Amino acid sequence: MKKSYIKGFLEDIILHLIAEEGESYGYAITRMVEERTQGVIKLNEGALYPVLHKLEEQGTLVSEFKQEGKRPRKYYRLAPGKPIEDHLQEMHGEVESYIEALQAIFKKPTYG
Amino acid sequence: MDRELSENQLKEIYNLCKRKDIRYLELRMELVDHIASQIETLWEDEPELSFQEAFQKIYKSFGIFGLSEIAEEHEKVVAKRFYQKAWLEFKSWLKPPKVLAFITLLLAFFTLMQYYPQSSLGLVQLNMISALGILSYMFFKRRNLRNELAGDQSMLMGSIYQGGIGFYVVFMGPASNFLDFSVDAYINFSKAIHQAFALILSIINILVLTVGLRLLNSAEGQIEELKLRQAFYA
Repeated sequence: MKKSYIKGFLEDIILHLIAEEGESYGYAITRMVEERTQGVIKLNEGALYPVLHKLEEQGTLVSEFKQEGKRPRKYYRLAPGKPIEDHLQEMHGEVESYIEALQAIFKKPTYG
Repeated sequence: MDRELSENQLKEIYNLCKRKDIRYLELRMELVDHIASQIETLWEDEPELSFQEAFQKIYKSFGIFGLSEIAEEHEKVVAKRFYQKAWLEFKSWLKPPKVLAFITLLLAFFTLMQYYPQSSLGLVQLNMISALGILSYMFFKRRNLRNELAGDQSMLMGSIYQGGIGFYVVFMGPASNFLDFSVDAYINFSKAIHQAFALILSIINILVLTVGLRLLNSAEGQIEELKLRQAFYA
């Protein structure tokens, strides 16, 4: 799938997955996306980490390094005390109507 | 039990990231964990692969520009952080109670300039001296933090200089020349433009220095945590 298709949704995908999981880390997010979409969407590291760091910078996410086996792992979760439920609900609704709108356009190809 | 990377193998990935210009420690450590997780997942499907074979396979999957592309993308995040902080800081000046101090200072300087036109140049010179002093402090402080991290740096440390350098090149060069010429009447700009220019320069200068100091302070607060994590790969 074209990278540009995903670009606009990247922030929402990441926020949605982290909100659902409670906390998560870079690699787990890429795995979740790949598994749930059966490989149709693959997040590339060059796009994922800048968005995670941007959300952290904005104060939407907070992070913490934890020792995971032999190595440190950086976990992200939604920032406490920042009500984001409304934003997530709104985002969910918008994504659904966007998908419906696209389906309405591309449903019946009648080229030529 | 699932096959896991050894400490030496993790260090090898860490050193590769360092060689490939992943300058910021937090990002480097995240990428080491990312690549290590990818290798361990690959071993689940192809357990016969050696570490080197699995590492090469994963590294190739990053594409031709691989890690350099990630490093490049991060420079944008780091640069943007400075401007975002500056914008937030400026917005906070326009809200009570800071806005009262902000307007009072502007009015005080403006009134001073009405009675003593030369004071606009004095104001800019005062800004320059304070900028040189504070920038030198920031330079040495940042260098000490870098030494503590054995030459590495955090993303916050990277953000400190990003926005300021361009401004000071203009500030110390063309902008001050403009004011000098203007005062000496080589260029006959109106008094109002001259004064507005001096005030705007002062506001930007204070903003850039404030943001730089705040970033430096936050960077200092992170050092112990980063040193602890970094020690793992030493």
